[in-house]
This record gives sequence, structure tokens and C-alpha cells, in this order.
Amino acid sequence: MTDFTDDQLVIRCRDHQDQDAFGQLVHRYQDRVFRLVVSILGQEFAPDAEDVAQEVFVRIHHALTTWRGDAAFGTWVYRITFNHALNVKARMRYRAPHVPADVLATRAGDAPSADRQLDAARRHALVLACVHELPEIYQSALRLHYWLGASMSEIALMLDTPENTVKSYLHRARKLLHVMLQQRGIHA
Amino acid sequence: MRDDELKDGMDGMDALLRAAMSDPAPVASPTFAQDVVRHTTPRRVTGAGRIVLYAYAVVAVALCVWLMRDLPVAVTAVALVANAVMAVALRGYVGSLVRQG
Repeated sequence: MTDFTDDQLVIRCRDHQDQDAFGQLVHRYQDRVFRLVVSILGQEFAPDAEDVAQEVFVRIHHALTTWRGDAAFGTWVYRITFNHALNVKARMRYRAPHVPADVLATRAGDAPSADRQLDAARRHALVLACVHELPEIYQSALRLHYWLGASMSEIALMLDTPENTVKSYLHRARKLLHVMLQQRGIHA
Repeated sequence: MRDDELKDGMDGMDALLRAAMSDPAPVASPTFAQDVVRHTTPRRVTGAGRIVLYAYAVVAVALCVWLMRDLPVAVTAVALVANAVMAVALRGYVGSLVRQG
């Protein structure tokens, strides 16, 4: 079944209720969907990413009957992922972020001195807080690039935009962050 | 701001972002695909469950007919048909709720 195209798998799943075909589709897209979800939710809500990614696939499964094949299956999948993750994030903003105790302990143990460690942690926290104030598409592009190590072509695919637009998003995001940090007294 | 200052700032920004986002990236669990497929596989009623459901329907119809024995046959028939229609409509509605998740 690995030789089948996405369209063939969708037809098998939709018209013949073939769960193996759907499993193959999940297998094909799980990494990118998961990374896109993580990039939208951000570091604070990363522990919820797996549940959200599962919800995305459940939605895709239920919506397969509405897929007409006008756009590539992947494009449709990423659009559903982006919209669902954004909705979830909007709901999560009212909840305290989850920061595991072991993460804090790891951060406290690695730096050479307490002062430098604290200073670096403050700068990083401020950078991440500023990232949160950027438009969602910039946030997602930044996290995919800097945190998840995705290539330009991968980011372009997931955000359904040309590579040059992704480069422009990243450039504008850095520029905005630079100004925001300067206003807060941090010089990059 | 001069161009070279801005360029330095952008390079510094790049380094700062890499440092701020240096946490290990999360990965999906190895059973992710299996879990999704399990969630989306419709649950089938087992053979024993089907027998219980049919038995319930037969007993319910029999009880209704017995309770309405003094009423005209037409009224009993209309009541049974109306109940059947309502049951089918409810099943469709509940199914749509399940599909919406």
C-alpha cells in the first residue's frame, strides 16, 4: 500500500472504509502535521501537541467525504491542521501553560554561573514573549525554522506559501522582534 | 538605523532566536498512527450485543401493543410507526454529533 498515491488512498478509505489506507495516510503525514501543530502551539503548550494532532486526523477522517481533490491532499491536510491548531491555541490562552519541573531543573543546572544563567533565561523568556506578540503565521514560521529545524521547502509546504514568501516572513519577523526587543532594552 | 547596523542586528537576532528556541523539539509517540486509527475505526456491535438489541426491540413492541390493546388498531399502528421514525431520526442525529467530534 506504500506505492499508492494520496488520492488512491483517500478513495480506498472513503469509498471502501479501508482503515489500512487511512493508517497509511496518517503514517505519511503524521510528522509534518505534528510539527505544524507544535509550531503553532509554541513551547508552552507543546505537551498538548500530540492530542491536538490526533484531533486533526480524526477531523480529516470525518471530512474525507467532503474532499473533492481540487487541491493536493497535503495542502488540504495542512490547512485543516493550521485552522484547528489555531482554534485550540485560542482556547488554551485562558489556561496556565504547562512547564514540567524537570525542564526547569535541567535549565538551572547547565549554565556556568547563576547570574549569567538568570540573565540568559530572562533574555530568552523575553524573546519568546515577543514572539507570542507576532502574527500567527510569523510565529509558526519562526518556530519551524529555529526550533524544529525545518527546511525552507518544508515550511513552504506546511504553510502553503512559496519559499520566497517564507523567507520574507522570517525576515519581517526578525525585524519586528529586533524593534520590540530594543524597546524593552535588549540589544541583539 | 544604518544598513550595517540593521544587518548586525539581524545576525544577532538570528543567534538570539536559536538560543531561545534551543529546547529539544518534541516528537510524536511511536504509537501515534495506531492510536489515530483506533479512534477513527467505527465500533461494531458484537453478535451478543446485536441479539440484546433485537430482543429489547421485540419486547418493547410487544409491551406497547399489549398496553394499547384497548385502543383501535389504527392508533396502535400509527404509534408504532411514529416511534420507528423517531428512532431512525435520533440515530441519524446522534451519528452526526459523533462525526462532528
